[in-house]
Amino acid sequence: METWEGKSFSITDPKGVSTVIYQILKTPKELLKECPKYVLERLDSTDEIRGDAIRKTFYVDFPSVDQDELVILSFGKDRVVVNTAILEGNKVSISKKPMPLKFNSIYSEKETEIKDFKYTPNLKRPICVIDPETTEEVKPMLYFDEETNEVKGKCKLKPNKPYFAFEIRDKKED
Amino acid sequence: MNSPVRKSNLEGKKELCVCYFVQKVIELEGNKSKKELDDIASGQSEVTDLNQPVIDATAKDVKITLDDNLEITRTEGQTTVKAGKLSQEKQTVKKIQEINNKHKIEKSNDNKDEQSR
Repeated sequence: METWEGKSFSITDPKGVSTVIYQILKTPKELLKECPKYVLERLDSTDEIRGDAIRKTFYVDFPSVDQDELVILSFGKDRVVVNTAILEGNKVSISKKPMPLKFNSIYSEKETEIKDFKYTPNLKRPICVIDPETTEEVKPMLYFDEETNEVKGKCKLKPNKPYFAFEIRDKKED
Repeated sequence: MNSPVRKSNLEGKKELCVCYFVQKVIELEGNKSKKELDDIASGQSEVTDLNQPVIDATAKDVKITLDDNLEITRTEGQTTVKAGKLSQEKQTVKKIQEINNKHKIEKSNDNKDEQSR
């Protein structure tokens, strides 16, 4: 049995907003062969209804000894607000200027069929895809293609529907 | 930024979907991002016309236990809650953080030794 100290902090989502939070981890050199340079860990959370609002408590089960970088995504009806934050000790500091992103819904009266979108995942460049309506991650189903001898991914995406995708990478030098 | 990924060609054996991705690369700028950060005591930010969550500025300690069956339990104050089994992904995260924290502690100890000399 192992025991260690994690952290938790709370947010309150107003009506119509649903927030998810990711912890950004930098992979140490020893594990770079098996993991990408940055790993995104979606934080577990518990909900508590408070009138029209929802109070969510997020758990950082594997905190760093110094500080942790977090990405806070708040999904609304037709937009997502992106905040960055730092968890240092027992203090949560959040950026003064969040980044709002608006997406357009594409309406079609024609019935559409769900298709499988096939792609080969690049394990060195993980891109996180989120369905803004459910805030669930759209994860690919991995399978082994015996013909090409490689691991491939199958991802179900609905046509005419917006998704939110993001990745973490080093900034390019100007 | 909206950009279509691909249009599907339903003839033949293509199986692509038409979808829009709102994609933004979040660039963490190390020390620069730290300068931009500020405490939010009341959860208010400069942008007030967007629906955003109110964020508590204080985090709490949580005691985490992992048993031999990889079941996680979280204890906050007097409350203990079972949080399920440690997934493969979370095992990787645990491994990453253990190594990172070990490096940071070693580096911190080295710095202290140098300062005391």
